[in-house]
Amino acid sequence: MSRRAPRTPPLPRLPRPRPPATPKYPGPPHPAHPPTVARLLQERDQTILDLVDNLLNRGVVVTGDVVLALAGVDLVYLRLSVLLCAADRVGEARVGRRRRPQRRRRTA
Amino acid sequence: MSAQPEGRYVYAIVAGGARALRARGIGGRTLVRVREGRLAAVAEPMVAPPNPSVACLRAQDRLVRRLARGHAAILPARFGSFARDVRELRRVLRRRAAVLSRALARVRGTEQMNLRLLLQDNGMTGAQDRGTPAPGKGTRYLRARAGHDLPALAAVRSALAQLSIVRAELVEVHSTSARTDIANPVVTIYHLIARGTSRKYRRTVVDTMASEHGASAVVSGPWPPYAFAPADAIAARRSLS
Repeated sequence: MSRRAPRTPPLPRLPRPRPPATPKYPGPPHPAHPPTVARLLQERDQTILDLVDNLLNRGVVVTGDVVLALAGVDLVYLRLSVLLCAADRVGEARVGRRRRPQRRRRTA
Repeated sequence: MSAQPEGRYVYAIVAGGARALRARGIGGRTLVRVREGRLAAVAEPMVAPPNPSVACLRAQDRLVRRLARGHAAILPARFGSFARDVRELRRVLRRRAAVLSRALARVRGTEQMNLRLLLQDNGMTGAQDRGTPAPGKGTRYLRARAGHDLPALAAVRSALAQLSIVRAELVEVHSTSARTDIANPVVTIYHLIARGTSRKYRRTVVDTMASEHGASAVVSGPWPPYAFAPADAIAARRSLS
């Protein structure tokens, strides 16, 4: 009758390797910044921030229709190529728009 | 069998090539090339553009990255770029051929890195030579927007200049307050770098920022060159708004 070899104790479970995080570099953890900004730039949300920045704010504009909806309610419909973009871009566009000169009213 | 939709959802503009695309888009249909001269739009037949959701943004980014691996020069399209039919898409490509060709030549063999600098106070040096008058509010604003007077950015720039990998740079200063003289600004710098050099880029930024006080940085990338795709269609269409 063969004797069973003594069981080796199970190896301690190692923590799962984390995907390489976006490196953050020395410096204070943004004490001067409002919590929202600091949170957006945390590693977890940063990819979403970059995605939104890159895909909605950048890139070739061809042409498009987009309906912005919230909870099933259509809020904004845009036919023009300036689809979804950051507020400062909309501001720039408004500044850049040429205004028609206003007619002077004749006063009696 | 249902007929293919006439609409074309555009993912990117590339130099017209003969190689077949073997990828499916967000809507599950095989991507097609719509050629016009030397340009081609990589598009998916769709009835309407996809909903702007995080899942769709991720899917589009994955797809554009995949396309970028197969093309030396690619101009990613902004999310939601949709043409009603092939004719409309061709018309856009024809009208903008010169601009798009120049942009394609610029981004050939490159990728984009996003560098965000978070500055304390206003992060500007504010140092003035004696004898030169202090700049006015407008000048300060324009200089801030261009990223001048940022010691952290200047340090990163000079370190990267030694590597000769940066082909182009775009700087945007975002203020966390409504004031234009920039309190606690977040500065985003988009760098167009040679493909395959993102590790060098990161390492250089890490080393440089280690000695910079009053600023911290977050790097992401490599990305397809989103920030270097021409957006002048916006200008062309502003008058319509």
